[in-house]
Amino acid sequence: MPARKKATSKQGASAELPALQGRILQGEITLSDHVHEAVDSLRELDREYAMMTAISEELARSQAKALDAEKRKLGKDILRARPLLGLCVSFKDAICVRGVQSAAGSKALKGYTPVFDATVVSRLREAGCIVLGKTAQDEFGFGSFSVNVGKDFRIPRNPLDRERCCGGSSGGAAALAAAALFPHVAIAESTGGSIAAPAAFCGVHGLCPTYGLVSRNGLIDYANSLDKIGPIARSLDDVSRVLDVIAGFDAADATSLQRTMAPEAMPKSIALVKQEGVAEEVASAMWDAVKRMESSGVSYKEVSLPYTAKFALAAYYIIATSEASTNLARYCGLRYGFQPPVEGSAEEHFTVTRGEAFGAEAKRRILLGTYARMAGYRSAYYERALAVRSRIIAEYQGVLKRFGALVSPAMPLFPPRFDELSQLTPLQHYAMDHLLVGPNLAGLPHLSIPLQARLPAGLLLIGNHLQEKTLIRLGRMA
Amino acid sequence: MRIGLEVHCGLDTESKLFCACSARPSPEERPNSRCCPVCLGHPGSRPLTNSRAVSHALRVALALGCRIPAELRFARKSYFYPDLPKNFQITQYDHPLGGGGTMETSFGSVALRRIHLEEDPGAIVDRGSYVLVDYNRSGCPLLEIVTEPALKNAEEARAFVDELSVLLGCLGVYSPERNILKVDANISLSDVRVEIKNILGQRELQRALEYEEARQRETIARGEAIVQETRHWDAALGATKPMRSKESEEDYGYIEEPDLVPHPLEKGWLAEVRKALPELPLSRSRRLVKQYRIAEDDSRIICFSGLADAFETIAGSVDPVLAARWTRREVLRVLNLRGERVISLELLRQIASLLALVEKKKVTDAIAKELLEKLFEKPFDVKTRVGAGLSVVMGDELRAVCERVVKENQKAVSDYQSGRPEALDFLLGQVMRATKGRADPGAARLLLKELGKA
Repeated sequence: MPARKKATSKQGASAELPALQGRILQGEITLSDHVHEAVDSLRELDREYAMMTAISEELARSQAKALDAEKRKLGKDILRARPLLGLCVSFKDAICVRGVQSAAGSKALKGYTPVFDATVVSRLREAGCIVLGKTAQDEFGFGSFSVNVGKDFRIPRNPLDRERCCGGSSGGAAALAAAALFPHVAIAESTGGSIAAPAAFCGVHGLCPTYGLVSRNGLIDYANSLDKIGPIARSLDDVSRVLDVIAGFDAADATSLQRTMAPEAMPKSIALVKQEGVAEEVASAMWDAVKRMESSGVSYKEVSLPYTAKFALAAYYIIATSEASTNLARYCGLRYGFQPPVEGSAEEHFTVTRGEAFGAEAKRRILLGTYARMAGYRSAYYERALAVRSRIIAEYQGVLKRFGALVSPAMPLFPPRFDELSQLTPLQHYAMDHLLVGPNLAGLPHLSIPLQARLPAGLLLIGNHLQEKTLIRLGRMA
Repeated sequence: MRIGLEVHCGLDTESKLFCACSARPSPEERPNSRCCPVCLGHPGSRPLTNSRAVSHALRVALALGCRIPAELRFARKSYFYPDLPKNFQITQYDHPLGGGGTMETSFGSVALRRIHLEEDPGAIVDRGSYVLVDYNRSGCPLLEIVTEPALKNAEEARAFVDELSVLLGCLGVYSPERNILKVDANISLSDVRVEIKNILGQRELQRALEYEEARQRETIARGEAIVQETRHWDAALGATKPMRSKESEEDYGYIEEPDLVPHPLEKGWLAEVRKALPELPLSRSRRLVKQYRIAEDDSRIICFSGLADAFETIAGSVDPVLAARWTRREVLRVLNLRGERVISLELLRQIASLLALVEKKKVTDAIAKELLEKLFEKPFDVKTRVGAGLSVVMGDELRAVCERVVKENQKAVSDYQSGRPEALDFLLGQVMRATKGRADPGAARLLLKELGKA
């Protein structure tokens, strides 16, 4: 498999953005030619790994044509207006792209084409990026392995081993980031770990930013108080340059932060979070990375986060499913998306639509979330989970006062094979997120860096709010 | 009997509560023409709070003396209904914009429980075998005002809502022409509470409560128990119908609205809003008594019925005591009759000239009352109609002419008495002839009716 070979080679010259931009500016290649090649290559990859839910060839070609015309007019100056000129981007299916099916991997939204671009989409287009399409995911983000895809959707396969999962829920994004033969950054989304988990399993870099740093306008919601959009890419340079474009206040999202990222700093010490249940090979790869950082002058100390370890997973699933169960209420076959023939009363129509549209995991989370916010249970579950969340944030803040960053493996194991996954119960599935839900619940930025091991695994770096630049700097040393 | 009300009234803002779509219907708008991804609940769309709607609601909260929380917070109220685009409504739950408070009315203080902001759903259009949904109204700002069960009867409930709508108008946050006003009422004769939903407007409120009171009294008289339940007011039928019982009460599963972060209600802003509050009915009533030396009772009713501006305009040129009496009795009577609350400036000017004539005893009270009604139908210039040329045929002189016409036309009089109203037109024609058309036909008709009585 040629793709696989390329995917594992980290520094293919043609896969670097500056090299591509140089060729474009020299007139060696037009953007139209580049996009033509990229789309062909993408189709081939998609046949092999099923990482796409939609390929937006028409949009990509029209963008390339317009940029070619602009380049003819502006010459080299075009880079000032379009710093990411020629960079191909893909969007997790939950991110709305105007005129391109955006379904969050769900039958409920099959055929739905948004009437507006998400803010991240318009910012990247403005910067000169080419939109290649939408990437596969667990339905509405409900999973850690991208196997809970919606009805009529394909399960993406890991480009490093087709029999293994990509991680989730942004599995298609990480798979494409790993496999693309052209400069590409996948725009993914994390609610409880959906950027770091697939990045770790696919051997690429994934950054989940501080909650509110990147606008959620145009993101199909899983759990609004937890959802974060961030990049997955083969290189940290790509992660960084895309983050610079998508980060920043957006008046269209009331939860968007006015403050911006803190300048890069060099932490003197980091804290290693003690974890249970980490596979031996993953743990030792992590230690290798920690030692490398130590040799670059970063001391470490082991710490524990007892409150987070005990309660984060439960609090996460209560808050996330409570919000999700309200978000999914709108999919009822009335205004857009999947609509079976209308028969009977509105209630009957809603029931038939939702019964057919949602997969098993979506139904499970709707039930869980609805239960947790019902009168009589609300204070015991939903409200208590909110209180727990505040204490978890406080616990992280306490440790992050003393250390520049926290370190742990991203996932406790190597990417499981599909046959192994099918043995797990729903609760075991949920437990796989236990290293990642903490920072997600606390809205802390975290970065997954590929570890050197027999199979892909990730080192997780967690920073304080708005410390993305520092995490990237640390990541270069790992 | 105790009655509590939940009044939902539209706020008069230019745009909707969470998006930039117009909140004001235009006369011939098409269904679903004032909508966007936000008020249609499209995936990925985000609400943004309309600060004008918040300041409108704050005006009301401050005018009613409510406790204002430190932060503005919204919640999601979940239920499935075709007119609700997201199948949840953004409203307020644990932290209403106003807690407690008191509304001063012409019949005393009414304790309030809370007031809060929320978005309006769309509208269901019934087409018989199917329904259509129009989302033009979806997302328009609504203010919900909840009273304690402090009202004693249907009449008080109606007066409360009447006076509330006056207050909201006086605060400049509500316009009866543009904004809806819906009421849910709960009524308990004993300790069992029955809720009545979906009452549109004050007249329906009184009807619904009177019906429900009678129904409950009859039920008790039959020796049966009142069931705690929610009923629905069917205006066409003139009856309340069972909707759901206590056991099947909906569970709205409230959560905080995660797309809207708590927004601090800064003290400076509150102070600004408070400073800009207009004179409220109670203090205005006190001022009018002092300034114009009018009866306290007249003043209260004038102010709480929203006629204070009208009164002060009239009292500018007419004896205030007379102006107060006429405003309180006659002007209010005609407005109630017509179901109106607004008087144009031109109309006010004419009313003032009419009352000036009353003051100078140039027209009788009876004629003035009839002229007043006519003015509301179609304004005319009172001075021209009753003025110089007509002074000959006013008062006693007109009466003399009428008496003569009646005396000379006994046949027509007896025709009229035997139930042929057209005979009155003949008599009127005779009066007009005798006065060369300078008699006021309204006044003459009134006199002829009086004189022609059997």
